Amino acid sequence: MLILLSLLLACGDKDGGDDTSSATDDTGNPGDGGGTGADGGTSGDGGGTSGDGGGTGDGGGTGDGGTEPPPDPALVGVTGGGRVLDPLRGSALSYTATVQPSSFGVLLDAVVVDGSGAVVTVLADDLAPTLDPMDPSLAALDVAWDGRSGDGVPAAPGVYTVTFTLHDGAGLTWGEQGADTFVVRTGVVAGTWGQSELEDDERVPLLWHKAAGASPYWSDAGTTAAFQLEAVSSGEGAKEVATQVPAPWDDLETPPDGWEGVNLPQAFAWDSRPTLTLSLGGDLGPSGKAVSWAASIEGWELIDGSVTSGTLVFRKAEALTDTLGVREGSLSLVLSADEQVVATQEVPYRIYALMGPATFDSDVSPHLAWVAAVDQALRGIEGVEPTDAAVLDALIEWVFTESDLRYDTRSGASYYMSYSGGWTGGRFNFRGFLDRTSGTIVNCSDCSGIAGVFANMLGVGLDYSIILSNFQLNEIKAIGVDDYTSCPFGPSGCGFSYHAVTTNDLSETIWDATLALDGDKDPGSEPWTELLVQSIPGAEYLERLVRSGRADYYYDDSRVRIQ
Amino acid sequence: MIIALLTSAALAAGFHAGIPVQGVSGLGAPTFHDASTGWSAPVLGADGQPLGVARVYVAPTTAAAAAWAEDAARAVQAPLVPLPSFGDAALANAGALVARDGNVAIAVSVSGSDPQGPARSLLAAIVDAPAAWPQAPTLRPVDGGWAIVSPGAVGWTITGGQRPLGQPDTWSELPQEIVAWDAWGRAAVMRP
Repeated sequence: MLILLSLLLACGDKDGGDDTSSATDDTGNPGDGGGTGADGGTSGDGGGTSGDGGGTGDGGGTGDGGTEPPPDPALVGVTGGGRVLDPLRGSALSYTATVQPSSFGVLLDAVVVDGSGAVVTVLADDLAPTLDPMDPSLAALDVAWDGRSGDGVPAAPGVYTVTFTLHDGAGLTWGEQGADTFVVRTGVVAGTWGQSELEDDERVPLLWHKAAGASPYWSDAGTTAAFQLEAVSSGEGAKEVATQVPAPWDDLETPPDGWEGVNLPQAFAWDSRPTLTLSLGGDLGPSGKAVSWAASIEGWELIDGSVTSGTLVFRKAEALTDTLGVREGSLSLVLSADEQVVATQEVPYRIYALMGPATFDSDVSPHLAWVAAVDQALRGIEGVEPTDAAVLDALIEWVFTESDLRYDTRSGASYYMSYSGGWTGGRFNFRGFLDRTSGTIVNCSDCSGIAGVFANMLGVGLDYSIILSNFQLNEIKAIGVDDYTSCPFGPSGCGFSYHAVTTNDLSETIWDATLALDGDKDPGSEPWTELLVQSIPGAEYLERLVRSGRADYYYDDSRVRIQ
Repeated sequence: MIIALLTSAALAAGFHAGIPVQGVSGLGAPTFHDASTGWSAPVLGADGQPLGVARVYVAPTTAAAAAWAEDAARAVQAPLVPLPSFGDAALANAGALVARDGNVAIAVSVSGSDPQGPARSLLAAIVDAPAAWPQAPTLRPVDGGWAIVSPGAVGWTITGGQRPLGQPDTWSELPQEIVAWDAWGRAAVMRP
């Protein structure tokens, strides 16, 4: 009944204020209509309010001609325009139509129309506005648009208008207003780490060792992009979806055979402030000029480029980390227009935080940081202090205590290391070692090669040194062996013809992954105090290792090569 | 010094084509190293598990093979003793054996078994033909770079260079060194 009454009021308003007054008078007390609010919800409530505030029923003032006629129903305003919407990445936008209280009983439609005026979708159909509890003089209707048609098809980039129409049930329109919205497509299509040539943006080349083709080695050269996507979205119609930056490539041995689904891990010096250059794709449409675009990643600074230029160069605000290790996570790239978030896109990453580039004598493939090596080594020594000594100490402990290796107590033969052209030509079959193609038995040359390769791949320079020759041993505990002995090859084999260790200062300091020494005052007999060979002075090392015979360090600036 | 036996004995012995890199009994797939190191293959047990490694160097000269064998013997920490009637010269202990036959040198390291078995298999597999040393590889321009041409090669050892992702046969940046290996384990080197 109230609706009918309101419609009558509305018709009267449309026809003229005097008639409205008259109609109100005729009804005696429009405030009674509030009682029907139970029937009509918002409209009914509004009717009651109208009656209360208008005073038409209370005092008959209208009839007296001493009060203003109730205002016409009117669409006061529409908010929510001028914004940008990416139907594939952003959340829906809200739009609010505000109407005058005298419009209670009237209804609102809201539709989205494209630039040609065609209706894309209907957001509201004959919905009544809701009274604003804080301001009874106003009522409002909220709608939301997710940027899609009624069939769920994302709208193409362009300008769209969310149009509210205030009308009554009798077909009369009391107002129409629209809010323009820019529909866009956003997203990154390529990302490259490093390459800024800034001093502390030190990207380290990575190498995969089971590539296809004539060489098993493939390196990113420290310059290759991390990912290259074909477009910011894929699929058509209702099936169009935003493309995502893939998770980091998790095959540590084999590189991808193309860019699809690829996001290569990266390596940096631990104290780098890496840069990340993102290439944007998509279509900003007219929004590129109509609004102010911005881009951000928390904890990173935008040092070059802009959304409208299509290139963003971010730089980490602080050093990558304060320890060595594997850093994995995801960066949230936020694109905003006029300070309103339009899209958020995740950029997953895996970064190996090393001491620096590989420190072999050669700086080309295969003498680079192998993904399979740095991944396992960094996880093995995760969190180690970024000093050469700390890294080497941790590596020795990791190899000696956590590997599956066992010393060759039959013959002391090497399985992965060989010397070519004399003691200085140490070559380590690291590819074979990673697969244990020759088994898990090793000797000192192997262990010096293992320590040397891992250390140099982590960016810690480490040479090997040869102790010569034919000396008798104090008590040692060889890698993978449970007991101390001075005769590692049995009763008739109580010495080494040579021994290989590692050093970074011409044998002043020794690291040895082959054996543990007896660390007490008497290294030649029980009891035994296990002493891992970590940063031990060269003279002390020989003193604890050698029972008798001449032994000294030679060739101690030799750096292992990968064969 | 006992290791010198490998150098001094019978340097004038025969010049061989090499040892087939595939098909020697008890050995797994070969891995090719650099031209002065040779190739290697795992020594496999009856269950297919690795027992150790066999290294082979087919040298351009007998003297080079002898020097390689010396280097191999040096890397064994436990004493080696001469092993008579094994190629031109041989040294061995319980798990390691180094031998030379003319311009071919081998080194076998095994755990838990006798190295003489795989060593004998290797020496027995020595062939004398084809005598001609393989040609060094060449480069052919292709779209986006270069391709390696080495007819008859069964393996390569490539140092340096750069390939675009997903293009395994195209070198956008030339390698520093390309070693092509023929089926008898001989290396031919190109330095672009």
